[in-house]
Amino acid sequence: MSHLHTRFFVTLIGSLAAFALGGIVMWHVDDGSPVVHAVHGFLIFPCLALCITLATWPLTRRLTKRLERLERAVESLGAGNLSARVAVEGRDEVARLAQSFNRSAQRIEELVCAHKRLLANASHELRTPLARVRIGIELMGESADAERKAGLEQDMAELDQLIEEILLASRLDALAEPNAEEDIDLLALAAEECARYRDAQLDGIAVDYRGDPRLLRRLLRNLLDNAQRHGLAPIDMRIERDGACVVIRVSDCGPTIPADQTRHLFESFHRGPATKWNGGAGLGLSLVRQIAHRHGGMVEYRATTPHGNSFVVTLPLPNRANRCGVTTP
Amino acid sequence: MLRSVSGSQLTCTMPERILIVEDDARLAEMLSEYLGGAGFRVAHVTLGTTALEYLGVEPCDAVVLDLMLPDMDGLDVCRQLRTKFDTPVLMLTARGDATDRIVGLELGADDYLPKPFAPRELLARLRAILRRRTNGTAAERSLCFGRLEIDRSARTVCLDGTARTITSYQFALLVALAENAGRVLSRETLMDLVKGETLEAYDRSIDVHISRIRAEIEDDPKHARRIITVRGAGYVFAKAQD
Repeated sequence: MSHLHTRFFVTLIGSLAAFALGGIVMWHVDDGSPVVHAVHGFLIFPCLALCITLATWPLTRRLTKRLERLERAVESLGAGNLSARVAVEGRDEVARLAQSFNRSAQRIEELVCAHKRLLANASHELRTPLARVRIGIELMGESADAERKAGLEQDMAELDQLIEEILLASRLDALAEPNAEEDIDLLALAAEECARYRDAQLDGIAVDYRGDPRLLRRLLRNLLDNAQRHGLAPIDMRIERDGACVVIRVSDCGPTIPADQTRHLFESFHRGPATKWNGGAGLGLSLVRQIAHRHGGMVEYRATTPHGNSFVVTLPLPNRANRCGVTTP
Repeated sequence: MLRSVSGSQLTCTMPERILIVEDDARLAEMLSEYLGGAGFRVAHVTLGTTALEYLGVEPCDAVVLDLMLPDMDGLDVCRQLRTKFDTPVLMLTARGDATDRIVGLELGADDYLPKPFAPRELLARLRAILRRRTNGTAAERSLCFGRLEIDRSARTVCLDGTARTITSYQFALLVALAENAGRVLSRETLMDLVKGETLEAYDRSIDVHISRIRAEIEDDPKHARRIITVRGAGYVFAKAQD
């Protein structure tokens, strides 16, 4: 019996047959009294239900156990365990579903591994020539035009950052890798990043935060880069606590972004209708959003009056997400 | 493929031998030229297996190892190399993956540099691991941040391989900051951390000492990138430096 519906049908017929057999036996002991008739009438439905229950219980229990195992495997796969598989038992529909799940999981694992390999190879193939250029600039020595040399170094740094952002965006999009979390002094991290910009000022309080330092450094840098590219100095960064959250606010004094543009701000490759190109591939703010989401937080844009822009990242402190009011997709 | 480049710099002692394991021939050639110009004798191989064979017959003072090689993973090369030789290893990687760095260092690599790297940083790090080897200094006693190296046992500070002069108290301050890199330290905490160090008579202000340290270790002391002031909180020693 390879089909579940056949097994259910046979079990049902069997239980009805058992019930009919019982009925015939009862009929033979019937002495014709109204009491016995009443008892027969009263018992007929419970007996029928009991027979069906007893007959189908082992079958349904075995079926639900297999479905539960399958559900656990699906959840495990969804949580990022790409090696999650389920044992295939029997030859019925559930077994075929399990086989189908295993095949899909295998395919997903292969695709993700291929994606990882592609990212690693792309990173290698793009960064090795960059390393050559960088050494080449150094080998130019003192004879080279200092201004041209500095320009080349700047171009190379921009290209390196672009490669880093594209690869990071791709990795965050496609791979459900867990964050490499550490305890971070967020104010210190912000101070390091602000020190990279001449017009950036930092203010705030010390906040110990547990997160991925590499990703959070990228988040802070992208917010500052964005303010420098598209806003006007001075750029202010503030780190503060708001209940169970840490709030990172980066403000600049540039022209306010038009309302119809703000909803596209955090989309990949969005550049806005700038009158001049200020550099960047339009990935910076999209990465900020991705990184904030990975930490259970969110980012939003707020126009400041009479002019100026403010980007506010709200990150829940560990184990306090539900008290922070942060909703992430 | 095996190529050799001789250093052009004249030195009194025998130049140190560096083996570059890199499959990109042009990058290896440029690295050889750069390191050769800095006074090293450089050999280059493109395969992991060749590197292991080469080290068996030609001992080297340090290995610059790329992590992505055509015949085997650089991490495997590092593992095998560690079991047979005690040559210091500096890993180069373009993967940009923190896991590689952690695994590489756990496998016994002495240092790690992501591509594209500043050649001066490679040189500084190479010199630092060679100095540790020569002095027999444990790696833990030396703190490296980009081109800056702080040797706690020799009590020296080098930027781009050049020794910088700071006082004993300033050195203690710098070590206290560097050991807590990535954390804001208040002036009071700093004073506590360097308690016991003899203070210079002419100035007891932490701020003045910090500005003197900056003058020695910062590329632009007016715009500090290594020791950063956090208004109203104290100082932070940058964890990520070039």
